[in-house]
Amino acid sequence: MSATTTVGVIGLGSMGRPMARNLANAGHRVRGFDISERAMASAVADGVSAVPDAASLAAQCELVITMVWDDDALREVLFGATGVTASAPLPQCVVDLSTTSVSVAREAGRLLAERGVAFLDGAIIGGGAPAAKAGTSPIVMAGERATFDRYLSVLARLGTCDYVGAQGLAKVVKIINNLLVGVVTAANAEALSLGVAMGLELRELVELMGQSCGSSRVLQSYMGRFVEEGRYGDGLIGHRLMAKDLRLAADLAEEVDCPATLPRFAEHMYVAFGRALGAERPFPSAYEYFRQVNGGSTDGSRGAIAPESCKHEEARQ
Amino acid sequence: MADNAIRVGLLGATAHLRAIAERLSALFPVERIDVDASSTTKHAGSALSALADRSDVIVSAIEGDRLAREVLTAQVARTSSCVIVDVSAIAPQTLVGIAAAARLSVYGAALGRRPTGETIATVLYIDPSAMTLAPVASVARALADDIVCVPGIKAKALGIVEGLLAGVNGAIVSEAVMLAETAGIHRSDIVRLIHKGSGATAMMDMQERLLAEPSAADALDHASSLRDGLSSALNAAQALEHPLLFASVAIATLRMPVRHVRGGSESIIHEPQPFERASPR
Repeated sequence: MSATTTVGVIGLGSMGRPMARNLANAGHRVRGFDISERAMASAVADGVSAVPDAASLAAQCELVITMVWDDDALREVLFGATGVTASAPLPQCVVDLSTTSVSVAREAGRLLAERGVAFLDGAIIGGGAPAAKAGTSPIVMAGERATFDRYLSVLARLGTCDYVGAQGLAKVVKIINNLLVGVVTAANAEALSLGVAMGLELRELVELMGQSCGSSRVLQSYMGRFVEEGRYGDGLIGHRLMAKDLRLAADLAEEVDCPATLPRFAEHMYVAFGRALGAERPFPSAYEYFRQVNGGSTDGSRGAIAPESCKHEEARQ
Repeated sequence: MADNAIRVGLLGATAHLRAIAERLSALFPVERIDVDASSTTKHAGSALSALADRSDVIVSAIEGDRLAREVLTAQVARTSSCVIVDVSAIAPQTLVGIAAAARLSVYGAALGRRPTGETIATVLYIDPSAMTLAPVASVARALADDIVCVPGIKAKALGIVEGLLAGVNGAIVSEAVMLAETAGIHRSDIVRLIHKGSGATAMMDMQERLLAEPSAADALDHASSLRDGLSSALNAAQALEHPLLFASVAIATLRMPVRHVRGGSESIIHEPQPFERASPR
């Protein structure tokens, strides 16, 4: 493969846009497509050439990277009327980095293989938007080893890539990671809420528990930032998407017949958080939910669910 | 540094005292009396009385708020300068009641764990006023690798929250690792990969380390400490009418019997250890 590759990026949101920019900065010719005109305009400013649909993009690219919303969105951009497989010529390889189910990743791999297109299912498992911007995201990839090796020099511009095995396994890793993030965040929010109810300061709790055996990356990063800056972080998904991620985990558990109680329970809790606080509020705001439903608030005063949170939700609807 | 002049009494439940006794008995003359939920108030009182007569410092680690209250407020004569450092996982408000009613001075404390590289350090959260007493300070330094001075009720609250975080994180790590294994990713691979990811937790690293070279005693202690941490938190929360939804589910998952199939033979495990939950078929 040549040092300069024509790469297409479908999905130019908080993760896809910096990935496209890093590829362009590395000297690759980058084509971009997003259903949002605003996202397209931003990517163009980063040196990405905009194309009108996924098929037009794929026709110009050897490698196509997808970073889309969910299973349905992935099916649409790959196999829809103006999707990747409607292009001529077809790209040589598709790499999907979306948070999708294992089954749709395997289905995509099979359908693309029938058309002679290689497929890697991948996942970014940490770092969020800041790591995507810095090109340091921890990434896992699955599929044919030879395909991974062939495109590693391009993919390495996006972060540190680990090969994990057969098709679908990268999605398993992603689902497990998100399961841990979702459940640990909510359960720890409840625990911190109890600590505050027992008279502890949130700041000392986060600091001391961040060094203890109860520590976690979500506690240190999201709650640490909340204590310092009053916000949880940049580009975090909301309760609605976290509920979707947990549903993927619970569905996977049912699919492989592995008893798993906490993912389904947490999924329902995130639906409740979304109803109370706003479906698009950053998911670590679960802490505010537990403080408020237990008669306190994040600043230590007592009160019911904050009316402004409910208004926020209504405005979205 | 050893100080044979300080006589240390240990009072409480067998499981909790084991590690404490191991650390202290190398440095001090230690007398240990076990009390558990089957002890009557009368016996508990006489146990405390006997121990107080022969100790400078008593370290108590009693299971449950009710028993801790009964034992530590028992009618004993204030015969000496003996003080109690209570590391029981009890609610802060229970400690307040005990301190007010006890004949001996009771200082609130809690034991925690802190991962430090390849080892796990013991942390003692303890009331700073207790540390001004030379015998207590000596015992405290022997008891833990690190000491965090906070008022007694805060020490109890920190101990409760740490146990709760470890319990819920341990429970979900167990489910997540078993799900990954069942779906085709080896346990050591998922632990290594998640360590780089946003889902990383201290419990995942600790459980992996504990079970990499399985010692039945360590695994049992670990599983038991997870359940104890959750139970204590649920008790403390109940007293505050503060529901703990995740802890309730987590403790249920840790107690759930599982079908275990290895090498073609099937069995039901009624006291599963972390990572044995939901073993792959």
